[in-house]
Amino acid sequence: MALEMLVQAVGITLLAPLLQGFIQWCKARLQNRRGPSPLQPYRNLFKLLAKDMVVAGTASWISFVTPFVCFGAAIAVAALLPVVSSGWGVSDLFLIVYLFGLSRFLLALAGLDSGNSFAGMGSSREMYLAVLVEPAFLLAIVATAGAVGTTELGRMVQHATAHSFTLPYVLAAGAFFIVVIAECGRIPVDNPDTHLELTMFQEATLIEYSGRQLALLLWSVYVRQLAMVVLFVELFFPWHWFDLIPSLFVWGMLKIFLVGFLLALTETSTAKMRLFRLPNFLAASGLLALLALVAR
Amino acid sequence: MNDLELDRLFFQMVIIFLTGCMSAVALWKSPRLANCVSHGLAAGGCALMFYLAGTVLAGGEAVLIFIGRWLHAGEVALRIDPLAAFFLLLLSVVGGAASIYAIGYTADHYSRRYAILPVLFNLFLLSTVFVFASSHAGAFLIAWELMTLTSLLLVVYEHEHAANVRAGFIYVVMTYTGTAFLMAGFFIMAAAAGDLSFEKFIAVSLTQPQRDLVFLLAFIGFGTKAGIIPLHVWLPKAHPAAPSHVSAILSGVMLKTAIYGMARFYLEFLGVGPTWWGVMVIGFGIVSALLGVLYALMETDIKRLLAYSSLENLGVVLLGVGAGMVFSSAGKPLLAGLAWAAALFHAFNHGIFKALLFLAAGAVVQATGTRDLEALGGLIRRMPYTAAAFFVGALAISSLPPLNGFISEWLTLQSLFFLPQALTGVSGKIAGALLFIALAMTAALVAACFVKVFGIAFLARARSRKAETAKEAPFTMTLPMLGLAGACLYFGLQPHSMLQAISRVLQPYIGIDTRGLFEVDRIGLMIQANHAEGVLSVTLLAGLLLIGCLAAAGLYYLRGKAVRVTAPIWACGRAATPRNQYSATGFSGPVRWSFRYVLRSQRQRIVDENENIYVGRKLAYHQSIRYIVDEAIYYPVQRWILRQARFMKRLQAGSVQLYVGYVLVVTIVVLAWSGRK
Amino acid sequence: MNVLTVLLLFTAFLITRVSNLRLAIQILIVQSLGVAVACVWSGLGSELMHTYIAAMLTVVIKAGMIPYALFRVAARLRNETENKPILSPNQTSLAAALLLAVAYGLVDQALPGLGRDALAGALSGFLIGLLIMITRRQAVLQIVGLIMMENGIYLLGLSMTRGLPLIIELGVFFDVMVAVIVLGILTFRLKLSFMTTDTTVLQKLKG
Repeated sequence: MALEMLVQAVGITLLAPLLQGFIQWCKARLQNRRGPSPLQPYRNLFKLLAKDMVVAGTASWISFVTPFVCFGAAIAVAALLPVVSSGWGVSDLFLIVYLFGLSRFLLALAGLDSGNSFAGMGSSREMYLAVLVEPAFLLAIVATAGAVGTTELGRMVQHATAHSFTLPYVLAAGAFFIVVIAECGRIPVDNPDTHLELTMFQEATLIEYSGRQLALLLWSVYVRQLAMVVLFVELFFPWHWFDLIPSLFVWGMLKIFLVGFLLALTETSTAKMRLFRLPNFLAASGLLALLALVAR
Repeated sequence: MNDLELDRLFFQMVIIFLTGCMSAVALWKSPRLANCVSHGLAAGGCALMFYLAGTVLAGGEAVLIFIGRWLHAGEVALRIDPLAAFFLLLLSVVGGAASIYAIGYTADHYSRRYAILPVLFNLFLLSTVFVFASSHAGAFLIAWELMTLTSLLLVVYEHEHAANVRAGFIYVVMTYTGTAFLMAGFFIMAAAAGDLSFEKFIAVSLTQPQRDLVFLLAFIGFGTKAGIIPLHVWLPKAHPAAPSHVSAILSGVMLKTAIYGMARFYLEFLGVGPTWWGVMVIGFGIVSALLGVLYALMETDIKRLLAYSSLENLGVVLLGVGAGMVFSSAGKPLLAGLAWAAALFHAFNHGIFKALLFLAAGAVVQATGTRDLEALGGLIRRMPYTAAAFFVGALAISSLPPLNGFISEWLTLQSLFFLPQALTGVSGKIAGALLFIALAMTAALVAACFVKVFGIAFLARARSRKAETAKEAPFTMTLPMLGLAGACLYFGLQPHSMLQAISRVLQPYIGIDTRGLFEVDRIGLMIQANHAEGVLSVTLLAGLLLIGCLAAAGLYYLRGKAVRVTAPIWACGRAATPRNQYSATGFSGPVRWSFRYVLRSQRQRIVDENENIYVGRKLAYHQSIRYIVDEAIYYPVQRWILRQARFMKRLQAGSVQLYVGYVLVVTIVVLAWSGRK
Repeated sequence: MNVLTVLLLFTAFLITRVSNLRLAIQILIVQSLGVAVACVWSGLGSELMHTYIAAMLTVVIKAGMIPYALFRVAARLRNETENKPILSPNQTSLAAALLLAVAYGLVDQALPGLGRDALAGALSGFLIGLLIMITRRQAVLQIVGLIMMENGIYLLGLSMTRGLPLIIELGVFFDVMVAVIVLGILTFRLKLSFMTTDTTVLQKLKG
């Protein structure tokens, strides 16, 4: 079990930059640009891992520790997701959400640590976003798969597989897609490509990071993104278990990249929202989830 | 260990606390000695208490300490049952830490009246012990009042500040009102049972309206102590006013006496009630949780912020209590056990991390002389141990894994998740979902709140001269903080033993079944009830986190030695000053905007227009929120009372003769009335 | 016993007519001594030890310490006299007589046939004490009224129960003593602050 878990964690971690690269590539194509290759994130990470770091003089050990813990939390999430088989029964929904919370907490602190005003703004917005996203996240899943009577994700996925594409799941899929956008920091919630101070969320908290630490943080962000997409695919776009049978593996991959393409499409076709319009956006998610609950 | 030895132990503990009082009185001329001896004795008493409570809790049997007859009061018994032992354990941990902390902390307070402080502190601890140990309504109320009184005196100890005295006044009014309700509740029970002893109260036969009345009376009475909104007005004023080691006990333990009282009434005396009891408790719980944390997030006074956050945590505890009551009345004993266990465990955890946070905040306040977050900053370098302890406390209270707050939050979430099983129909499902949303939102707001506190107070650069010159607290202060931080970590990684002790506490009560609820196997903690299962594997999680961090470290050093170059931060080309840093008020801005209908935030901007606008203008900015509960409930009541008082004032002519005249008239009337045929 | 009741009433009536502070205190001493004798009297009847103790305390406190303190206060106040009582001496006496009638009426109504005279006398002593407090502006005279009232209560207890338990009597004594001390201090403060011990000035304190 432990070995399989580690293999899964390593697999997801290694795959994560590819999804990021793919989304960027799709976006570029949709905008009639050639864009960098989908493998570009790997090159970036590899290069960053060799670089020296410029550290803010005001930063403390919080800034130093944060990349490691965020990466650790990302690895833990990657290992806990019920991907390879449902057999472990240890992937609790709340645990996953709170692990995301842990890295967000530290990232926000790191933003305040340097004393940079942009980073502080990023922290503030990041925590504000969490207030909106966390309830929507939990509700979208609980409203549907909660019928199984446990918050263990493996069992929930089984339930989802059995009831795939029923009305509640279709509704909740819409709800969860909004959550995925928010958690991955994508337009219309956040803009991952910008460095315009007024529009930044997550990028702002990373603003004082460079070199290896930045590599670790970016990587953990990619892992989080992939984890969210995997969760979305498993619950609302069920694929059964990825039992190392080539056909299933290929199907799973296709679905993941299809969702990646969807994300790229939304990013290209919508404009970023004002901060204070976000409650409405996530309320839409919550309402969809409530409808799903009623329809259950 | 038999009862005889335990009761001797108990009396030894009492004597130690009393000696602590006496020694402070005897040594009043030498504050330093009084401090060390008296607080040292208090810590010793707490150590004994720890052993005593631990033994009872491990044994799972009630221990009779003392029984005596007293005129009309019947049999007055001191009895420590597992429920009491559980809370005594919390008291011993928090009290012990606070006692040691006090040695360093109160060294700043030496003055002529210093000796009062340790005397009151010992008495406060002792009376709290008796609150938990009394098994008799009269004795309980006396201990309860003593606890209130000693804590009140501690709250107004620094009476030079008018605000503290005012806080004490509000505290007195509110808690005595609460006690009046409690007394009424006890009277109804006693009238039905024909006795004041708690043993006779168990399963006493009351009619349903009587039971409802007792439920409501106890809820209001204990709710005032717990500070549930809207009975909370005293709490955010009184808790910060006390010296910090006392604040730690006030928030950490004294609020829990209310939970203890509710457990006594609702589990033991009243038994299983109708569904609306639990629903009502849940309703108040969620309002307290959400409003409490919103007010905490808006606050910039570090100690008042912690006090508001206590409201939130008590709200979460009440969610567990209410869910437990709903499950009981729906005939789901296992889930009821789960919910009550969540409540008790959260009460325990909150005691530990809130005490830790208050102690650390006290160290900060002492080092910098200010409670205003906007004047702090950069303390992580000046006060590394305090900062580390506060960091752990902040993680724990934000219920992040792998700390203790997460475990109890997880259990509470689980019990709310199963709540629709006890409520019927779509409305039940929706109510459950809304609760869920509110609790998740609360958790996120708490995280935001404590990012704010830690980030603003400890990180970046100092925002004032005082914060710049702060010094680390002495080891007598840092040691208890680090000890409590260790406890947070311990109960986060090893919750099993405590949860099993809690299930032993809950097992005897009607409507609750905890057998086999918490299974520990190689995976980790499992909860199992019919149609409800959950798994939380803390050890696995910790292992994975560790492996992940090690992997990160491996990547970090993958391509050779890491070179770190220090540079100033980027502030658009200008030299960054502490004034460029994000402020506490700014940090909570988005939330304030989003919840503006609840918070009624108001802002005022004063712009000096005289100077050349291109050079820069003087700006003053004032931000405030209004407290909706105070405005909706307390202000009208206050206005009404004042109107009545103005009317009554006519009776107060100021003439002594007139007053005596009233006495004469009343005397004659009373005599005539009593003599009527 | 009846003799003593009459003595009590007589002294009470006297005080209603007095405006000189020292004289009022002297009358008070006589009255308190009367009460002490009554106490001994009832002790002789019932052979209860503690009535003697109570009598002794009465003498020491009410005929000794309190008058001594009051004399000292009066001496410091020099020429303070009751100038403008709210009711004139005549009116006060009349009111006292009315109260006596009320007391008899009440006693008849409530407890017929039980030591009627002593009881009614004690009650009217109590009521007249109150009356003095109402109708006099001088702080010292108000104290005198208070002690008269206390004497009345004491006799009331004595005539109804043949002596209260000692502990209660002790409590009452200390109560009175504390009250007198507080009032004495208050009187000084009055003199210092307002140059008079006329209590009507207290009305200025009203908020």
